[in-house]
Formats: sequence, structure tokens, C-alpha cells
Amino acid sequence: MKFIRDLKKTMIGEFVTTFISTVDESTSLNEIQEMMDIEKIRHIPITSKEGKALGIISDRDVAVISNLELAKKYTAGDLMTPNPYCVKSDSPLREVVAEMARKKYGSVLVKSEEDKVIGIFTSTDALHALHDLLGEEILEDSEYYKSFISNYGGHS
Amino acid sequence: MQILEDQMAENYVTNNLTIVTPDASVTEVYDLMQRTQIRHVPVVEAGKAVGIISDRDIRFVSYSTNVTQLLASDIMTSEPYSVQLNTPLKEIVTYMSKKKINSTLIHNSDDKVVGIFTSTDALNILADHIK
Repeated sequence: MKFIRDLKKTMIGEFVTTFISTVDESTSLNEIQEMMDIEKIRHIPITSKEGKALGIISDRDVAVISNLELAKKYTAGDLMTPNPYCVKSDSPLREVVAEMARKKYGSVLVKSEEDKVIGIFTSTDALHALHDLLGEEILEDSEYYKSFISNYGGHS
Repeated sequence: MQILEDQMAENYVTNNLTIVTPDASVTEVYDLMQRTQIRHVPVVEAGKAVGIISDRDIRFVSYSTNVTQLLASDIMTSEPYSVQLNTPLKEIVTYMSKKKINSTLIHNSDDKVVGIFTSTDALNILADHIK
């Protein structure tokens, strides 16, 4: 099975993993860890009341800080990577990927026209896209594949 | 120029791979990563990579009360994914995307680490090919 797609015309929004949950700066490390486990996600955005992105926290951040003796006293606001790179969902994939490569970003938050965080595109999603570009069989469990199926309803 | 589909791990061999030893202090590793702006450092003993440290592993070390005593070997991820020079790029990318990992170390036939392929390399390839 091959997966053909013109990446040059692709918008970042087509690759987005949509967030079910966001947290605010006061959310505890324990709560974040539980949400990641339950929802099987690796990144959670920290947002303002209006839904604007303030920061991002990854499972790696949580794992590392959990091993430290002072873990309990920290909240999302302490641990987040502030001022995350954000793009609109209609930004071209090629522009976003080039910027991520230049700045060595591991992820980019995707926002709506109203500036609300709606999802994320990570370096793993980029690896899925490259995997396809290299002509390998598509990974059927990837977000990349699911996004294609939901957008186009099939594959060639 | 070699076409992308035929590339192998050997395309990512470098003469100036930035490495640390297992007994390097965490503060040394942190300084090195800041100075060189790299996100993944192999931890190497007798030429062989025994672990890898990412910027994520090191970001919170200052929160630890015993930071001055921590060594690279305390915070590294052991047994990092490693391939041989002739491993096809396709295989590396497939493995990394399935396992959601961001780096692959490249060893030569003498089992010495000689290169690294990271998700930043993947982003660069993608950016070049979808211009």
C-alpha cells in the first residue's frame, strides 16, 4: 500500500492532532500526568482563559520533573516551555517544517482564526510525513494516516 | 546527487560529533548544549554510545537539590536506538516515527559511534523536498 499526497499544497491544519484538553498555569503536575495517561497524549498546552497559548508541557518534561524530590510543589506554569511557536491552521506545511528545522523546535501549536489553540504538529508527525515521502508503507496507526483518512476518506 | 530513497545512515556520519563521557557533570553537559545549540548529546564510553541526553532531560536539572553531584550517566537514556552505516534512511525514519523517538545513533563496524540522525535532520529533508 502506498500513500500518495502532494505535500507542497498541504496545509498544516491537515496534520494537526486536535487537543481534547488544555490546562491553566495552576494545574498540578499530578493532574497533568493523569490527563496524559488517560488521553494517551504526549503534549498539553497551557492556555489563558481566552484560550490563547501561554506554554506547552511534554510527557518528557513531566517524567523528568517527577523524578525530582521537589516535584509536588510545581504547577504547569512553573514547568511549561513559555511562548511556544504557534501558527494558523492554514499555514503551508512547508513553511512550518522549514521554521521548525531552522529553530530546532520539537513541536508547533496550531491556532484557529480566533487565536485559540486547537492542536499540535510535532517532530514525530514530520517523521510520519517523511516516512511517506520515502515511499514506505504508511503507518496505519499514525495521526498522519488518520488525518488523511478523515480528510479524504481513503488512500491510493 | 544521491536520491533521497537511496540514502543510508552513512550520509549522516560526521567528523565532529559532539559527545560527552558518562562521568561528565550535568552542569558541563548543560553548558555544552547551550554553547553548541544541539539538542541531543551521545554519552560515549570507549567509542561506543552507552546513552543519550536530550535537552528535555536536562531542562529541569537546576530544580534538583543535588545538581552539582549529578553525572551524565545519572540522567541519560540508556541503550539508545543505534544503527549501522548501511542501514537505509527509510528504515531509520520508520522506526523513529513508530517509536516516537527523536534521534538515532550511527555506529561503524568497529562499534564506534560516528554519527547521529535527529528529527531536525528529518525536518530539513522535508523542508528541502516540499519547496
